Amino acid sequence: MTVHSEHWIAARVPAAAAEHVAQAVRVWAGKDADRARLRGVPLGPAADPVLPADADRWLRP
Amino acid sequence: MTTAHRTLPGIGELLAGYAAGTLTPRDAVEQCLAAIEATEPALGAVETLVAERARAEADAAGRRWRAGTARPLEGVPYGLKDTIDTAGVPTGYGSPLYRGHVPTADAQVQRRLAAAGGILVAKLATYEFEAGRNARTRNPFDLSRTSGGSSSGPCAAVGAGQLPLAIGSDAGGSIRVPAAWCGAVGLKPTFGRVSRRGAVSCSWTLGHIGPITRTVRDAALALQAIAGHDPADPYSVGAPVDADYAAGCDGDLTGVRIGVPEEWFEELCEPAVAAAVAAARDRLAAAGATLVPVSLPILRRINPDALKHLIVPAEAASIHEADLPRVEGFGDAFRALLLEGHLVAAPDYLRALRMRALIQRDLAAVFERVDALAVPGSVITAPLLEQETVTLGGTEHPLASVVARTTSVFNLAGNPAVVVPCGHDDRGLPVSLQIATPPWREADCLRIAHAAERRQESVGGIGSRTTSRCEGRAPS
Repeated sequence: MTVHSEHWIAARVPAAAAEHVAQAVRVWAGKDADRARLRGVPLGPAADPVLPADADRWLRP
Repeated sequence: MTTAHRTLPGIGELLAGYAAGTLTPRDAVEQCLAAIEATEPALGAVETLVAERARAEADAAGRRWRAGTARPLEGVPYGLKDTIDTAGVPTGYGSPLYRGHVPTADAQVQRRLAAAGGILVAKLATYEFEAGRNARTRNPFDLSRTSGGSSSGPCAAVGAGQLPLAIGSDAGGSIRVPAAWCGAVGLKPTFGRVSRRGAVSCSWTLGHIGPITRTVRDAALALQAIAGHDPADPYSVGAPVDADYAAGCDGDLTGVRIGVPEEWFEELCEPAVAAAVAAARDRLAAAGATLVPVSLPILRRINPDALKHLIVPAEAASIHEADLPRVEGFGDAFRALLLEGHLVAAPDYLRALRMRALIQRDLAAVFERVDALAVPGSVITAPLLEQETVTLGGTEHPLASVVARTTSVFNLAGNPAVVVPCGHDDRGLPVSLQIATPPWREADCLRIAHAAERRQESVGGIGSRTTSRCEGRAPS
């Protein structure tokens, strides 16, 4: 997974130095448990996302 | 050693002095410049000083006061976070890649402040694109400690008494956390209340712009000048702006219901912070408010910070994709964030946005029962510059995991929140209370915070036990 992630970033951001890519992947991996917990929360199909330009509807002044 | 924090007048005092003829805008600008000279470079709050321009504008403002044509903030000196564009004035976004960059147009918030008669004195230090790091800015109460960020310069400058007003931005607590640590008032208005046009951000959906001041009434005066719909900003909302936020600060709290969340906000909290916040809530109750226990169990299932750590890297990587070919020119922390952003899967990003809606729904249900929430502005006081962990409840935690613990939830939900100093820890470092209200109810937010501030003053205000401690040299 780590190697895959490094290849993934390197392909998309070829200007990034290998050590910086590896560091970013390590930091990302450190938050795996947080992301797994979020995926464990069930969401029904009615749970819509908050989208960037939705503030007018989202917050209903 | 200076005591600028206690001697520089706030916005309200300046305006009253100008009106009475006992003070001129030029006096105020010179006082700010003297305070900056006395506290820099040790504090590290100022990026660019525009002294001569400020002096010329101060003289023009003095003429307006004498002619009876003064505008609402005529002659009030202020600073802007260096993520906010200013035409003709270097704006580097805290980034090595943009050092020396000079925008050709003003951000909308700068236009509004200038149109209200404000005087730009300085551009102020920031984390790189409001999300990297800034090791330069120190805490005005203890130079061995951090100011916090990302609005490092704005909060340190106001906390140290360099300026009575600064404008910052907040995508997860970037106004409120440093304001709390620097003993300032920091307001994050409702999402869409203040135009972000011309201000760079790390997040489209979480970013807000707001004022940092010495008092709540000053924050109200500043909000009046910068709030309002901007048709050219797709995130700006045409919600009505209250006629006079400052006048509304004086309303009493009889019948106001203030929620005290049972979960999350104080589960990990320094004892001195918890005690000061509890005492502040008690003072609000003594002022006529009713404290109501409320429950937000969703925050035990959905960690707001974990959501932010999906949303910000993904959006930042997209916002800054044009600079990816020169990604090595960014600072380490911001570069790492951009690279992480490429690992966020689209379903996870969308899941995070969907979870925001759940948090907003549950907060809205709580706000059916109460008018406001009163929680810590930060669960810790300012940490040491080199500190990377903090021990809370007998367990060591990464600093990054607790810094925005009480603030990012209100970025996710979009509602307004303000921090106001409410005491000190045993090292003399400021502790802050955070008041949050439903969307568009900044007036309630400010009225409750103002009541807390007045009651705090009656038991020993933020300046009475401790003053900022800055001098012009960096500590060894």
